[in-house]
Amino acid sequence: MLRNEKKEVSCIAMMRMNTVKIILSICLLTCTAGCSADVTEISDIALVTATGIDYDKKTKKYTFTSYCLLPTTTSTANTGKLSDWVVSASGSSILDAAKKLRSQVGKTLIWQHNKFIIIGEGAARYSFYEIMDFMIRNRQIRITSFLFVSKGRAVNLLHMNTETEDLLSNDLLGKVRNEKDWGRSISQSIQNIANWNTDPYRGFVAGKISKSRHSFKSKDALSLSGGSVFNHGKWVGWLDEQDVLVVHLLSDKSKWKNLTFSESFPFHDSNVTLHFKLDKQSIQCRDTDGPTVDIHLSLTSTVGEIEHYLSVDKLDTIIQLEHAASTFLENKIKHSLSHFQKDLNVDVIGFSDLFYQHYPKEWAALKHKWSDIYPTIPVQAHVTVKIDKLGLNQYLGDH
Amino acid sequence: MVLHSDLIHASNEMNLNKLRQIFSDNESLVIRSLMNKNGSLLASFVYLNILVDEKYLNQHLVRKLNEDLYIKTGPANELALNTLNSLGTVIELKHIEAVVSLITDAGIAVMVEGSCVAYGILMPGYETRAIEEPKIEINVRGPKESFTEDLQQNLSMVHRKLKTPDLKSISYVIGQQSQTKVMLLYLENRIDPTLLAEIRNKIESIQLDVLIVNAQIEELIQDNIFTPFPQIFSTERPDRIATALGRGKAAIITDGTPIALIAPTSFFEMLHPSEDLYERFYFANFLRVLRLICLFISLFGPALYISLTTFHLEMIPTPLMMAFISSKAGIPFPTFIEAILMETAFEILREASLRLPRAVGQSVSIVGALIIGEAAVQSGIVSRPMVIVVAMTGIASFAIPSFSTAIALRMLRFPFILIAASYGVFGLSLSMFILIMHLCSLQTFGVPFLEPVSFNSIRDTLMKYILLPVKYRENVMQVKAGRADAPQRKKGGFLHRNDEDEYR
Repeated sequence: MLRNEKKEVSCIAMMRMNTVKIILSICLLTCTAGCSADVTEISDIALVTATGIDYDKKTKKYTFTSYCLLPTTTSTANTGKLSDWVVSASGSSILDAAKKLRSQVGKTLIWQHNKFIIIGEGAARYSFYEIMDFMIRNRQIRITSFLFVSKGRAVNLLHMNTETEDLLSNDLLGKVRNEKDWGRSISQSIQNIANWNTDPYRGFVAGKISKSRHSFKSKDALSLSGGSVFNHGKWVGWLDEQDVLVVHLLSDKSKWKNLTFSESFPFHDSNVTLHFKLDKQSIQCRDTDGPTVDIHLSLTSTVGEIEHYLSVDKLDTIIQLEHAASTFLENKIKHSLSHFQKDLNVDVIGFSDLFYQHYPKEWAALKHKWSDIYPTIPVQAHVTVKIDKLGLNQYLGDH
Repeated sequence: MVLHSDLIHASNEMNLNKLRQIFSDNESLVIRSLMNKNGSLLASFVYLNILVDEKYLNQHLVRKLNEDLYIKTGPANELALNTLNSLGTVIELKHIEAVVSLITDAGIAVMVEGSCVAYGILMPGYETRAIEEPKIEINVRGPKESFTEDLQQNLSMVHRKLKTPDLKSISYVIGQQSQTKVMLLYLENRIDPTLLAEIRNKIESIQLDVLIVNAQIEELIQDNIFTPFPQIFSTERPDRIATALGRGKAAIITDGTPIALIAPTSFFEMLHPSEDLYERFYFANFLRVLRLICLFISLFGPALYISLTTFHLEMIPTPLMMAFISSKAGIPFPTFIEAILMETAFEILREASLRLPRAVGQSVSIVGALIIGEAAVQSGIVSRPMVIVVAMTGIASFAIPSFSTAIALRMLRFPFILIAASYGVFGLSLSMFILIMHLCSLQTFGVPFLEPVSFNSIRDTLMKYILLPVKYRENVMQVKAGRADAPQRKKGGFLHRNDEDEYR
């Protein structure tokens, strides 16, 4: 009995000791707050918002450029402003160059907010595979960031000032947002490019960034216009603005659902400019007597400008105008497709995907000679334009 | 005070001597005697002059008793009893200790010579505070009266709202020394008998020497002592008590405390002020959702800010990140230290403005706000976003109607800050999980603490949480269908869908 009591007392003492130990360890744990190795203080970082990658074929060196944002001042009295800072490093591999940046930067570089990857023309031409590999493997780079190919070296473009005197990344973002209003530039995410890049049958169009100089300005400005074509994981060439518009019209819905564009064409001795918006798009492939593709586009339109008087209050005139617009767009599409098929021989629209989806059995035979068949596929483009709004129905100045 | 279980003696002088002995060194004790013509003692009044209404005593009781004992014939004790009965409720006292407790409770003991029974009549004459507007639970459309320190007045306020004989009040005296009166209120046709028995048992088992406020009762009858959350709702509004009684709950009011307790209570009830029932249902529901957001902000505001800005920079939108970077430049402390500094300063300020005299308190809060807000930022000690986060968190915690719940949330914020600084969002989600598990594990008087929330029936949960228009609430429909007395507690739940008893 006595032994049992002693045992009970010692048990209670043990429990108390344990409780004390637990409380003490909790108290000690509170002292470790903020000691984690994963902590990155916001005051120690430089925010990378655009990255440039160049490749020199002769020296076989990569140049890695970061466009960083830093607070303007370290004094709290004048907060709220950020200044940009461009830093470059060269190395035998992209990772090597990126790591070398650390020796030049007094801050922790953070790529998680990076939105733009600009690849120099040389890098796109000779080392695109390595660049894509680096970007997909890197955990800090978001696959939703946009990839552009620069005419010339990327590092030069990142050093340029913007016309709005805003930060370069904000300026580029604004230009990407404006894409839907004119359709002559294109921006593709790394995710899309990575998906297409491995496809041996189709190519794709990525964005193009270049310097442009207006006659009335002394300074160069950055401009997003046109596109760059890739095939089999390699850069092939540039696309002009008109071809990029056709790529928009024939891409998936996410590219054209908000797109508005304007076109001018001659009509009854006058020059008419219409605003277009794509309503419906269907691209169908057939493999009955050899592969063919039918494209049906249905657009709504608004009259934007008419050079001379036109009696647009008459139904006949409107029908004729609609017909002229449809023919104009059909020709434009045919011209661009002919360029893609015959000149470039790159399936930038993704007809091969359509055949694979709708005719999987036939595709098995087709795919082996796809590069020969693709330039010869007959493509029928049918465009229907409907004019919704006329604006003022008479041209006042000429009346 | 030591009470003797002495019976009252037939000799008045002996009884009076005993009382003089018990109340020795008490100048307030008054013993007045009525004498016969021949100088023999007829009867004595014993009372404490600071507690009783002496004016009423002189004008009515003394005069009438004097006349009756002189003029009428018959046994003196019967004459005295008749006289006292005509003036109020008479309590028969057989023991000296009963006489003593009557005297200390603002009563007058009348001892008739030759009788072994004394008669007591309560005649309180002390000043009490008038009924005032609620100071903590302020509302716009509801009644503007709050409880006072006087038990009878509080009871009458509840009775005026529930004019039914079903309103029962069980009286207790708690505190060996304080002899504080406590009343348990309930509606007989609404309350679950097992719940009533449980509450009664708990109150009866309270052993206290001095009971000053009912917070002591709350501590003693609650089921879980170590949880930071209050499990018994305290209110200063009689309308809230009336609503709660209609829902089948019990209320405890204590003499000397202007706050009543409601048991059982759920966590979400603490987030709903009585105002919800007085506003249009759209607005009431909007406020209910808003308060849930406030609850989240006041618990996790600074912790979330710390974990996002130190561990998960990619989760902040880029423009916001740019703003954060520019405002954090030149700040010497890590975000975690900033948060602890600011939160501590805020708590000090809150406590100081609460305790200081009202006139000074106002200026302290203004000066404090200036110090915390502008000066701290100007001098580069803390960053502007942190000031905003702390201020937002503070304001959100004030939007929680129950003061004691808001305190619990404010207190829990500190461990969450520590966890966020060490383990980021991962640690925060773990601690949130633990907190929810803890809340799920709590029960008050057999009722789950998170009562309307049921993972089995989301529809039922929503029906109880969202306030429908009065016409469509369940109890109104029951009244229409002639099933007004139907609500009974089932499966450990006490809340019925959309209670509206005050509208019936």
